Order: sequence, then C-alpha cells, then structure tokens
Amino acid sequence: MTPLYALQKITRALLTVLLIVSTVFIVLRLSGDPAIYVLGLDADPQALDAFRTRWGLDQPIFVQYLQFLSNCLQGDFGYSYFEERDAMEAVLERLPQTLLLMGVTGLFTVLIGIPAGVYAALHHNSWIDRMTMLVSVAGFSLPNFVLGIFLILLFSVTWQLLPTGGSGTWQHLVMPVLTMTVAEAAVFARFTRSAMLEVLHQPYMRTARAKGLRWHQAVRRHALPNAAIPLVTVVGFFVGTLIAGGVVTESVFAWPGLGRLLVTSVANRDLAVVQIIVMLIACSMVLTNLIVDLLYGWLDPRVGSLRTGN
Amino acid sequence: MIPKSNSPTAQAPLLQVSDLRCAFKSSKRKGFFGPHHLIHAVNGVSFEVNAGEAFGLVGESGCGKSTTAKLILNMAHASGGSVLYRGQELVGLSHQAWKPLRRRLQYVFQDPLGALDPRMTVLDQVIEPLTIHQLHDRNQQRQLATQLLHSVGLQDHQLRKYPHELSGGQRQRVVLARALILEPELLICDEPISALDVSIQAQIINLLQELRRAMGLTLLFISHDLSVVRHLCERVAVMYLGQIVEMGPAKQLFNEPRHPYTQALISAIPKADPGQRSERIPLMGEPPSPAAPPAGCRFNPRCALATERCRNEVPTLVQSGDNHAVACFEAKIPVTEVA
Amino acid sequence: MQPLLEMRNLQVGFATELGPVPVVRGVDLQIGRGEIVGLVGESGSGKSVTCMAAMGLLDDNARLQGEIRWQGKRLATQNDKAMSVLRGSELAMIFQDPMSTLNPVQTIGKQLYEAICINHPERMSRRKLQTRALDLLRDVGVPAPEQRLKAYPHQLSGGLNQRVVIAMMLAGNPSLLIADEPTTALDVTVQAQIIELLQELRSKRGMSIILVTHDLGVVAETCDRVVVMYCGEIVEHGPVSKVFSNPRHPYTHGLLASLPRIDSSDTNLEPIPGVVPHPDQLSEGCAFAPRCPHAAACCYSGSPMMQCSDSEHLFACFSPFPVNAESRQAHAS
Repeated sequence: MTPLYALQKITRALLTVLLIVSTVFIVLRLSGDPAIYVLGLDADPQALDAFRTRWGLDQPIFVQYLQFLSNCLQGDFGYSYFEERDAMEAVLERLPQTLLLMGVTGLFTVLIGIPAGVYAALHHNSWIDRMTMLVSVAGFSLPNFVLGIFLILLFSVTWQLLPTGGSGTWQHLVMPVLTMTVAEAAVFARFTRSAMLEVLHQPYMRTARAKGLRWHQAVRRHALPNAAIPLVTVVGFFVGTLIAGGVVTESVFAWPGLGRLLVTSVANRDLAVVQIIVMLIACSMVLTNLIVDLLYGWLDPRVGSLRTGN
Repeated sequence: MIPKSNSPTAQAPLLQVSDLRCAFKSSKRKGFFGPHHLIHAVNGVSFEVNAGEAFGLVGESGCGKSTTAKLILNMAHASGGSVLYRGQELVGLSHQAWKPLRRRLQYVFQDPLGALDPRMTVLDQVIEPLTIHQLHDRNQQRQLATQLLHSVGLQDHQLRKYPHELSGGQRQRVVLARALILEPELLICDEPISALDVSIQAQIINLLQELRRAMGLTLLFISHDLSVVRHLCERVAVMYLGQIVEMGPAKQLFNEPRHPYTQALISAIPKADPGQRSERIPLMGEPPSPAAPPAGCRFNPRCALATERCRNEVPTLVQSGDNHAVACFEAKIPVTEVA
Repeated sequence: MQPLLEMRNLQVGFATELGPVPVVRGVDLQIGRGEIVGLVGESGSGKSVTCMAAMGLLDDNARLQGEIRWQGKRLATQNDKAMSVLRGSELAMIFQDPMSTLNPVQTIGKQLYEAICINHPERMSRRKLQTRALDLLRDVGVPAPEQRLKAYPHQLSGGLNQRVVIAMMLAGNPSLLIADEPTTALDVTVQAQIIELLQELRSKRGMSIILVTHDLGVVAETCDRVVVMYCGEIVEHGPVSKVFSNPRHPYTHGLLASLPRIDSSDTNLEPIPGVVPHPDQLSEGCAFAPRCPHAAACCYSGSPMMQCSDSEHLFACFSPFPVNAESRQAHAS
C-alpha cells in the first residue's frame, strides 16, 4: 500500500462526509417549514415569524447552509424542539445501548458465521454443506420483525422465561441479539463459504501441498488468511445491515437505543435528532468503509501498487 | 497453393500503418502529485499489408502486437500515427463512420468462448452479423450461414448447439465463420489458435489457408508462435518493446534472420526433431518493462553485439533491396543487396 | 535396477453426479534415476491426472485403482499424512501458470522459508533460514536474490516466479521433479531458460524429471524417453530419437504431422481429423479408432495391447506404421 493510496481513500471519505451533511441539510429543509411542524398549522403568524427569526429560518437558504456547516464544525447540531434540550445530548444518551446491542451481535455473528462458512467450504457438496446453506438461506430470508415477534411469543408469552422488552439485565439482551444474529450470521456464513471455496481452488494451494504441507496445514497457512481478505470488504456492508436491522429490532423489543429514538423522532418531526442520527449512521458507514479500504490495501500487496503488462 | 500476392509496388497496399503510437498512463506517478508515467505500448510502428497477402506480426508478450491490432480496429486510442485502409484514415474515425468498414474488416481473437454469446445457438451467432447489416432475407441468411459453417467443418447436428456444448476448436470455427459471413477483405487474427490443442491447431491453420485460397482473403496474423506464422504468412514483422525490429519475406526472415533479437528468438524455439538439437543463442534477462525502456536501441541491454552507439542512438528500420528491413546498427546485410 | 517411480495398471476415475468418469485407464510407467521422461498428449489425455495421482494430490472425488510404487514400496496415495512426508522431500511438482502458483499475499521469502522448514525437522535460526533461501534462489539462477525475498509474486515476471517455485521444490532435495506444463505460460526465450535450468538440475543433482507437456519440440530437445498418452492410455512409449523418427502409432504420427516447423514451411500440415472424445463417451475398442485413418474392423472391437517395436520402443496399435528404413538401419548398427 502506498501513502498515495491511503491519502486518496481518506480524501474520498472526507468528501463523502461533506456530501452527506449537505444532503441531509437539503432534504430536511425541502421537507417543509419547521416552524409549522413545531407550532402547528393554525399557529399565530406572528409566533411563526418569531420562531423563524429565532432559529435563523428567515435567512436566504445558502446563508442557512453556511450557518449549518459552521454549527456542525463547532459541534452544535441543533436543538430538539420536542425533547427541549440539546439534540446531541438526547442522541448520546442512547448511543451506548445501541453500541452494546451491535457489539454483542457482531461478536456472535463472527463466532458463528465464520466457522460455519469455513466448515461448509471444507466439506463442499457434502450434506453438512447443504444443510448449512439451507439454514443460512432460511436465516436471512426471515424478516427481523417476524422472528422477533415469534421469539416474544415463545420465550415471553408461552414460557415466560424472558422479558418482552426494555433493557437492564442480560436477559433483556438475549432476544434482540438472537434476532439480529440469525440474519447476520447467515449472510456471513455464505460469504465466508464462497471466499473459502474460491481460495481452496487456487493453484497456490496445490503448490503448498506439493512442498510437503498436509491438507489442514495448507488450509491454515494459505487458505484461511487469504479468504479473510475478501471477507474484510464485507464488514462495511455488514455494519450497514446491522444498523438497518437494529432500527427494526430495537422497535420490536423496545430497546432504548438509537434505532428506536430515530423512529420516535421521525414520528414527532424532531428534525434535529433525525438529522444527527442520519449523519451518525452515514458517517459510521463511511468510517467503516475507509477502515476496510485501508485494511484491504495493507493485507493485499497487489492493491494500490503498479500493474503493468498487456 | 497460396495465391501469389501482388507485388507491393504495383498498387497501393490494402492496409498501410505508419508511425502508429499508443501510450497509456500507468497508475504510478512521478513523485507524489507529479504526472503519471507514460507507458509506450506501441512506439512508431509502420508496415503495409497488400491485398491477398498473409502478413504475420510476431513477438513475445508485452511487445505491443495485440495493442497494434486493437489500434487498427479502433478498440484502443492511438496517440499518434495513421492507419490507412484503401486510402481511408481509420485513426480517430467515429463509431458511425466505422460501421460500413466493419463489414470489410473482421477480427478473431484468442478466447473463442468470450467472443460468443452464451445464449445463442451456433447458427444464430453466424446469422447475427447479417441481420445487423441488414443483408438478405431470413431464408437466405440461414442458407448462407449453414453453408459457411459446413465449409469451416461443422456438421448439421452441431448448428443448433450452444457455445458451451462445443470444444475449443469448434468454437474457434464458429468465431471464424461469424467473421467470414460478411465476406471481409481483411481478417485480423490475434492468437486465434494459441488456446487449442496441437491437432486442432493444424486443422484451423489448414482451414485458414483454404479460405484464403477460396475467398482471396487478406490476413493480418498476430501470434507468438513463430512456426505457425512461418507456415501461414508470406511476410513477417518482428516486434520488440513496441517497435518493429525486423520485417521481410517469411522464408528469408526465418532462414537468415538479421536482427540479433530475431536470431535469438528463432534459436529458442525447440524443434521437434531430436537429431537436430540446435545451438541456442542465450538472451540475458527478460524484456524490460515498456514503462521504462532503455535508452538507445531498446534491445541493447540483452544484446551480445551492443556497442556504445547502440546505447545512445535509436536505430531505424533500414530496408535493403530484397524487401528485408532491419533496425540494427550491427546487423550484417549482404553487401549486394543494400539498396 | 529398481525404478524410482513405478505405476502398475493405474486407473483413476472421478465420481460425478452422472456417475464415474474414467480419466486414466490402465497406465504402466517406470521412471528411472536421473532420466527426463516426457509425457505428451492433448488436453483430456490424462497426463496431468496421472502425475497428480503420484503426488497424492487428487481431489476427494477421485477413485484410484492399481498401484504406484516409490523405490519398490507401495504408496498409500490416498493417505495425506503419509504422502505429505514424501512430497517435497522425495517427489516435488511444479505447475503451469507460475503467476498463480505462488500465494499472492505472502512474500517470496516467507513461502521459501516455509518450504525449507517443512523439510528440516530441527528448528533453524532466522539467519540460517535466510542463507539457505538465498542459496536456493542462486541455484535456480534468480538474479539479485536478496531483493527477491521481500518481493511479492506479482512484482516478478512469470519466468522468475517459475524459478522461485522450482527453488521452493528443491528445498527438500527431492529425487523426482514432476513438471506439469512448466513453460506453457511463458515466452519462448524464457521457456528456453527454464528448460535449460531443468536439464541442469538433472546433470548437477542427478534428479529425475517427468516433463508433462503438449509441446513436442520441448520433448525432443530435453527428454530421454517420451510417453504418448491418448484418452487415459499410453499409446506409444520409447526413446525420443526412435519415437520421433519412426512413430509407430497413428496418433503419434498425427501429432507430428500436425506440427508447423520453423525450419521448413513447404510441407503441408496433416491434422488429425475430429476431436478428443469426452472420457464418458469412449466407445469400445481402441479409443483412437474414430479418428484413425488406418482403423480396421478389429480396432472397433478389441483394445490393442502394448507390443514391442524393439526392446525399448513400445506401442499399442493393430495397424501401426511400418518400421522405416532409417530406423531399421539405426537398429541394425
């Protein structure tokens, strides 16, 4: 990986963030007049005007845009009209809960998905392979909310083993994590399997064995590390589905995280909060992808170096 | 046997390539924000192909022979020079202006599976060009295509098959038939038989010779396999690092190569005759990258004859009286034949 | 003298969804010490599979019959553990496309060290390891070996990568090297260098080499003996000089007649008509009969056995080409 490659990727990521921030601004301004949202359609015109002057909404749009950018840079992301406090404060309060859910899900996904995929690939075309793939198809085609409600019916209503929603104890964590892990691990297992199959059929695997390595040694030293490289690129995509799955899952289990906050804020027209969450999600995607790109360039020496020849 | 080519001076050549150049940017820059390195894949190539002739372009990988074919066919962007086809300039021609020419200039490349549409039967593949150019009615199209497929050696029961159901040799025959259905004047072949087995190669070579006889086809044949080129072509040009280093009548060039590179190349070819283990002229190292060609003669770092002059000056192709041209300061040209 | 490698009636089939497909159908072959044997045939002749069987590198769906002996001892070719001990230290193999036979994300050095470590049971210091790796690279003629250790395969040319692979295979000092189309992906001038290197390995180390190739020219210039395979069977077999000057089997004859020659363009090519049949579509009798210009009725009913042209030259055909005068003279003298 050359420094140029890294610099290119970082510049591109920063530009993407700027683009996202601008898009968020434009979309939210286009969606209507915040004054009417907050004060209502039948509000007093003078009150509306006062509101607009108070929040700078009477300025020309590009002045508002510059103001918005400068606010963002200063860490001022606006005021939540609904919660009546700094919007960022409301968001940060929920963040640890979401991170906890995502972290535990991510851990289980990797712990289940990768071994399952590797095992299926090593026993390609056996009944174990076919079973794994069948379960995996079932896993990711089942929508989160269906599985979530099913689990509630089973564990909470019928057996009364686990709480239906909320947070606080490890019992609260079981069902949301299970719901998300099923889908994520299924996808991960499939990716792992195809990455492994690709690598196992490479000529260098034969060379490794011709040198005198046993099959499992060749797999450990040459197949697994090489299959991990394409898998790294999937992580970016994985974070995306984790966030999307999180919104639904948090709503189903009343998990007090960002996903649920997003849903309630949209319902309440709490623009500043929606704005922050959307930007947060987008930026975390950009950041993940940046890390993935840099990691990829570092892991695979062929990326970002000179290629010649016909 | 092969029809005699018209003598090159008698009339204008069918295809005239002069000082053709192609440079593309490498991903590497000079310094951090400096300009990209330029790779000169083709660097001042000139040759002529006469009507009815089979002209061979040979060289090792990376010498620019395939890029030359792509430049002629407008599949790559030429950064200089000209390609005249019957006097008409092809370089920089618009896509629209190319369309009528496509009928007369056809090509066959190495990978026959990639060149065929996997969802079309053999017969439909060959009919398609006729439909594109709106020639003949449906019945006639079918008849012509069937006839041609027969003449390239495919049987009736194979015409309804899909490309993946055929062997490599059969696929290349289909590609050939598709190129020939429009009765082109010039057929450009880039390594058309390299991926095939020996016995199938021979079948295609014979087929090409027969088709030339029957249709008066002009052939530009690009290959790394010198034996095949010698067998098929009347005139040959040898390329090294984007330039032609030697050009002449095939027989003469192969029997008495004049450029040290051609000599080494020919001596490196293993001969299927155990009694004749020939003395190889060893070549030092491997071809330098076209991204950083050496100064002077591009062959000088690997040449046993290289002198001070070769390291500083670039030799040009010098033609002697026998139509045999060589770009080398040290080449021994028979005195009587110098023009 | 006992042969190094011996195959007796080796048969390999592959289990597929449509039933077993026979790919190698009864191969008898002996490789002696210090000889270079060429294994030729077109795609589908089973030459590569024969070699992979000897290395114990066949896929799981391969079914093997017959026996393979190494220095007289029968090989358990399906036992990965037993074979891995032999691989690298007794038999080694190099492959067709040198650009993809090396792990693209590991340095040349790391892959070389691995090969050295496998074949040295006692732990080596980093220093010793490096010295040994550099020696190996020098042995196979890699210029500036110190710089290559840190390089990745994509930074080297095909010819250099092939040399690196050969160096890796020499780490265990094997007695037999199987080279499967080692020069097919390379340019002629580079091919000449690699061929020279293989010959050098034989003359300096007394190594035996099986050279699998479709290039008859390479065989003529490098090998002592040639084995011609067609559809999983050996059809002709003998010293290179005899087989090339007086091919007895029509397939060998056809291969030679298909070859354009660099030294003369005047002869017409006489290709073998038709194509190699798919292994599950073989008819009864001689596999070559449908493409053979001399095929008689008996060729379609019975399989020809190996017979001797002379003590060294064997072929399997009911209607072989006659012994020509040149060869008869050579035989008499």
